[in-house]
This record gives sequence, C-alpha cells and structure tokens, in this order.
Amino acid sequence: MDIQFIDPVPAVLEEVKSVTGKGVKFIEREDLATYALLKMARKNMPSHLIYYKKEHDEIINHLIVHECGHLFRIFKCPENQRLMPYSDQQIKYNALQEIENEIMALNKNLPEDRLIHIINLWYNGLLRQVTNLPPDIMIEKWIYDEFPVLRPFQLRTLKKQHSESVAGLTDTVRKITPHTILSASNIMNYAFFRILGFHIGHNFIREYSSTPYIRKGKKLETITEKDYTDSHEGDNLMIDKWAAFVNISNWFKWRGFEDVPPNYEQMV
Amino acid sequence: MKDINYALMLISANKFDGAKDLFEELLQDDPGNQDILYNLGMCYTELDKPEKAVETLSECIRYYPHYANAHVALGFAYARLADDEKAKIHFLRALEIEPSNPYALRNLGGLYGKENDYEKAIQCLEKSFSINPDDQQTAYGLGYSYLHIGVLDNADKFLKITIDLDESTKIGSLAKDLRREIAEINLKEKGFRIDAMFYCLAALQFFKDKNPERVKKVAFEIGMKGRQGLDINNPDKKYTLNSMDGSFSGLQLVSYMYVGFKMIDSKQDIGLDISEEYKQALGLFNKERPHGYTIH
Repeated sequence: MDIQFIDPVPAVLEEVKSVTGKGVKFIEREDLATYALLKMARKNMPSHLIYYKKEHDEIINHLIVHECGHLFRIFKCPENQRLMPYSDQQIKYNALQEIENEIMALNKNLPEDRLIHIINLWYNGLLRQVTNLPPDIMIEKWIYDEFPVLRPFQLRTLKKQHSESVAGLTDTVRKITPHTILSASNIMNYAFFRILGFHIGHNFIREYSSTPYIRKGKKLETITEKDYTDSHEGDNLMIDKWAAFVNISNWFKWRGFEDVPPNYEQMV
Repeated sequence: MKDINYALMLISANKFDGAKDLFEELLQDDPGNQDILYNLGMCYTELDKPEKAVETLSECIRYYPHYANAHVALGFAYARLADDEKAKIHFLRALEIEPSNPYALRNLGGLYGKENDYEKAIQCLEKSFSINPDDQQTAYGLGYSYLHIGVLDNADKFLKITIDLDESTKIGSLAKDLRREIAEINLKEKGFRIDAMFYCLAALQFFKDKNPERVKKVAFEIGMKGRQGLDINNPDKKYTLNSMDGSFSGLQLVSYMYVGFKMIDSKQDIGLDISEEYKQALGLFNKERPHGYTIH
C-alpha cells in the first residue's frame, strides 16, 4: 500500500530537500519494529531513506515528520560539527562489565541463552532511549506547535510509546532486569512523558505515582527544561547530560556524522 | 549559543576541524579564556598547523604562565616544527611547574628517544606510565625504547599493553608490527629451530589433501591471531583455532601459517623467516611421502 500523505507532509519533505540538498526515498519493508525508520543520507548516498511497513495507517504521517525533524536538526549544524552516538563490541563489553554483578544475580533466574538475548535487548534499548529521547522531546514539541493537524496522530504515537514504556513498571520486568537499567529507563521515560505531557496537555505520568522514579525523573526534567539549547549541538550535550544523570556515560561514544561503516546504506 | 563543552565533545570524537571552528568563534567573545586558547592551540597542532598552534599557545602562556599543560602543548607544537630545542625548553618548564605532569614526561621522553638517548627516554616514560597507565603513546614509547636497547622482554610487555589499550589505532597497529619483529629476533636468536622444522613437516602432512580454500582459511586465521602476537618461545599449547581442531603452541601456529602461505603463493613474504626450517621439512616431506608416516 502506497503512503497517502496528508498535509503538511509533502511540504515538510520539500523542505528536507531544500535544507539537506537531498530528497527522501520511500522503501517498503516488512521486518521493521516500527511503522517507519529513517536512514539519513551521508555524502555518498543520493537520498535519505525511509523504510516503512506495507500495513500502516495515517499515524505514519506523524512518524515521517518526526524523522524529518531529526534531519532538520542535524543538517542545520555545520557539517564538520555533526556528531552521532555509536557503540561497538568493546564499548558494549565495558558497559556490561559495569553491571556484571547485577547480571550475575539474574543469571540464577534465567537460562543462559535467554539471558544473552535479553542482555542485548537491554543494552540496545537503553542506548536507543538515552540517545533519542532528548531530541525527540524537542521534535515532538515542534510538531505540536507547528503542525496542529498532526496532533491526533502524535497523541496516538505517544500513547503507543507510553504503553510500551509503562511495562517497565511491572513486577515481571523488574525481576528480570538489572537495577541500573531498569532505573535509568524508568527515570528517562518519566522525564520524557512529564515534559511532553505538560506541553501537549495530556497526563502520561499517572502510572508512575508511588514509584521510586519520580524524584530523579523530576530532577532530570528540570535539568532538561532549564539547560536545553534547541539545536543538534544542544541535543548532543543533553544526551550526554542524561547519560551522566543515569550513570551510563560509558555506554556509548561520539563520532562524526560521516564516520559510518562502508556498508551503512545496506544496514537496517 | 556556542558551548565550549560541545567543542570538547568534538575533540573527543577527533573532529578537530569542527572543534577549531567552534573555538575560534568562542575566542572572539572571550579572548583571554584559558581553556579556549589551550584547546584551540591543540586543534591547530592536530590539524597540522603548528605555526598557528605556537601563536595561540604562546598567547595562552602569556596570560597563564604557570599553566603546565599549555607549556606541554606548546612544546609539542614546536616539536612538530622540528624545533626540538624550543620543544625541550617548554617540556622542562612544564616539569618545573608540575614535576609529575605525565604529558610533559611523555613528550620529553619522546624527544630523548629521538636523540637516541634511550636511557633518559625510558626514565621519563616509565615515570609518565606509572602516573598515567592508560596512555597508549607512553606504552608504545616504552616498547619502542626497550626494543632499541635490546631489552626484548620489556619491549614486548609494553607493546602488548599498547595493543590491549586499543588495537584499532595506528599506534596499536605499529605495536603489532614491532611485536612481530621481536618474535623474529627471538626465533632467530636460537639458530636453526628443529622444532619449527617438525611443525612445518606436520603442516605439510596436514595440508596435503586439503583444498586451497581450506589452507587459506587456516593460514589467514593464524595470521590474524599473529597480529596480536604469538608467544613463540613458550612451548605450552595455549592457542586454539576455529579452522583447525586441537591446541597449539605459538611456534606451531607460526609454522602452519608459514607452510599455508607458501602453498598459496610461494613468493609471499610471511614476515617471520623460517625459510630454512621449511626447506628442510619440504626435503623430508618429498623424500618420505611415498612411504607415508605420521607425525605426532
């Protein structure tokens, strides 16, 4: 099924072309965890790529504009000052060593093959959170302020994301997740939904009442609201602040936007 | 609003050009800022603009004459300009201000090494390393210096540390090359290696009915392992391979690799020279082959 764009998506896509010098190519793909995924064009790529699932609904319009938000932020920064977070086997190994005791404690409850699978999910999931949530806050605020027509789809996306996030408050997840990861994840989710909830007028944080994450979550919210510079540079500084706040500063590093593996275009 | 912390993030990511642009902007608003002047000077050096580095770091020192790290950075910029005399003055000045400054010690050690005064170089580098054991350049400097004075055990130890600290860097790669040189020296020190000859013979036996792809796979796997350094003077069978069953000693693997590569391309330079041992093994192999025998 081709994507039926609603306004203002075509105009946003045009602006992407004007700001970044490259258009967006849409590619249908079934093995995606979400409705849509963006690959930003590097120098040797003719266009940005947005992968999308065949089965989707109008919510995809919000997702596309959201991904374009990332493009605007990055491409408005001078080329030689663009940085992207990354991780590799060594960084991951060092990070997991920091919580070795917590992992060993869980080992008693889980078979080894399952544990390895879950460790990867934890690590990748937490990295995705810490490196995406700060810019996502700014992008969602921008969408809410600039594109009122997208608000219903934005709310649906955020509600979907919220329902996945509150799973981290259940006993089942608590029992199989190292404390450092669970705590970091819930604190960041709380700050994210508190900030956006206030901005768009929706209470996302009811489920967090009487959880131990509120105090730190509020502190992270204060830091974010007070210190955020609305730019790509500001995103990266805030990502570092969030990582330091939840004690995972060593879980990723930074490299230049263009310093990607040669097969980057093929990686999804 | 420009933020010095972002410029420092760019430096950490080795994006010196972007950091330089940002520091230059920041300097316009705050011309006498110590951190901006120092880091901008460092960026110029990294970007191969040592004249500009000298200019900026001299300015930094004019404002902050007791800033030891700025003296080190200025000395380093002079060294890039091949003005070793001025470089030394600033490294020594940094050490007057801060006697245990590991970077001053490291760079001064480097200068002594350049002058072939390895004894003094090692003194400085050892002291620097004891303060800053995670510094790859210092570890490499020690490995290099010990190699030059023929203390191979120490050289190998520090080169191994260099690789362990980060094998993906250029220095990590240089350390691997030097470890191979040390292995070669160790190998040849003992003259003709009869054990190597027998390992070559076993390798010839092993590879004789294997197709070239399999031979290549084994040889390349050992080659990759060898980049980390194989301990060829230890007879313990402490190595394993994915491409071949069993446990192997360092010399055994080197011999298999040598034979493997010779079978793929007889003109290939393997790095470690066991040509004599291989030649003798080949003689035995060709002579005995019709009757068949087993090497254990």
